[in-house]
Amino acid sequence: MTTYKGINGYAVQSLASDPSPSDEGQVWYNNASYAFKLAAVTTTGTWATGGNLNTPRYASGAAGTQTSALLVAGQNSVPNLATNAVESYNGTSWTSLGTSYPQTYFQLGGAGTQTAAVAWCGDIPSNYPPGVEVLSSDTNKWNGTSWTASGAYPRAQKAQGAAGTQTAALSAGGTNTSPGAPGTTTATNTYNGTSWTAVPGTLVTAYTFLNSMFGTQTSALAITGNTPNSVQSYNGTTWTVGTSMNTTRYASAFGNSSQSGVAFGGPPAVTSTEVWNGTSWTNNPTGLNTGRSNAVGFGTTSAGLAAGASSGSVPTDRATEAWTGPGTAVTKTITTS
Amino acid sequence: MAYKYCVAENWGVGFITNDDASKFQISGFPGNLWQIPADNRDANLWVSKVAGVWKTKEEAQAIVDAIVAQAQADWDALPDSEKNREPFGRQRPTAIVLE
Repeated sequence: MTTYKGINGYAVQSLASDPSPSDEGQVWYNNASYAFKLAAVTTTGTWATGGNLNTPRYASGAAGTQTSALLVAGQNSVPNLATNAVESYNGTSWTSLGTSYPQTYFQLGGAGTQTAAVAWCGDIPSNYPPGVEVLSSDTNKWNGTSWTASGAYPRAQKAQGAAGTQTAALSAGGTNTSPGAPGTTTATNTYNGTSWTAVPGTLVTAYTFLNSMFGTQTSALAITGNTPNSVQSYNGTTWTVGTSMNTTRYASAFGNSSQSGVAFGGPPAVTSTEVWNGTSWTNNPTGLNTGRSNAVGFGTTSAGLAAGASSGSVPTDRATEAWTGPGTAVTKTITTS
Repeated sequence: MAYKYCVAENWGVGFITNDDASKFQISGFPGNLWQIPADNRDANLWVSKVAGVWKTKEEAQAIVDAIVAQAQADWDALPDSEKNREPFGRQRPTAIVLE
């Protein structure tokens, strides 16, 4: 009879905890959970539940990764009330930080890491006459402890695409629709940690991008905007029209660069998820566990996070979802049926 | 496909694992309502894990309807100027019809 030892030259180990790292195909017995385990590599992506937010909100600023994230301010109910709360995430739970964002904004931009972030622009809540938007050009830097005012964005606006780091951020598009204001823009600006500079390469089409741009200052992808499944790609110099997604929706996104990313969700409660490999969009067989829109995306194509969302029926949602992309090492529990 | 419904509070990490998500489709709805495939062993085990309370389809629909109705009323109370400030694509909440 073929045995595991006969094939591998050693018996199944009995371990108190799962080994890390493990080799693909490795089998062991976890004597704490009384289960046989298998090290595998995913062929498709999956969404698992992440830690719940302390302050539900959407249209926030974001920085960081799946296991080290920073969520800044945002919209937290209908009508347009906002929060200046800042929360950090360690991969398991969200912690409300004692230091709030300097202003109560939503639809702001954010980039960087959990301990070195930058946030800019945004809309101020509706304590103003109907039809009047009060928008910001403020830029603030976060050092893990406190916020410091930095060089102002070239104009007051909201809903701009955001990508990059605290010292090399990219901002594209955005809008200011107050009466007499210039509206939606094609402008692209870079940030060097101190000030913003307009770059010659402007968007192909003037759009807003809310939590739907990802990448770096020199390689970014901006999806949806004002047209549901449109895509614009940036190479550090020029913007070009990219490959449209398969599903028409206003998706949120996260990713590594213009060559790798994940698009997910959309209003009113879309669950579908697509993976971009630099050439084409592939529909993931399974989508979000709960349809959500205006979520913030963190991380990379292999390990992402969706947080801060609304759905068509629930204005704000505390729940988050963690993405494990295709080709990622995972531990599976062996069951019989 | 036939579905079953349960109510369970999402506690965060571990509520739905990647392993769960790879074995069967879980769909979340307002009111901590979860839809799973009927006659699926893994799905039934998941409901036990999360201490889900089974609901009939009619009960589940009533839970969702109540939340959607409140969300629609909240939206309708907004002045048009405020509706226009909502992020692109966000509109009046729509009814959800469970399968």
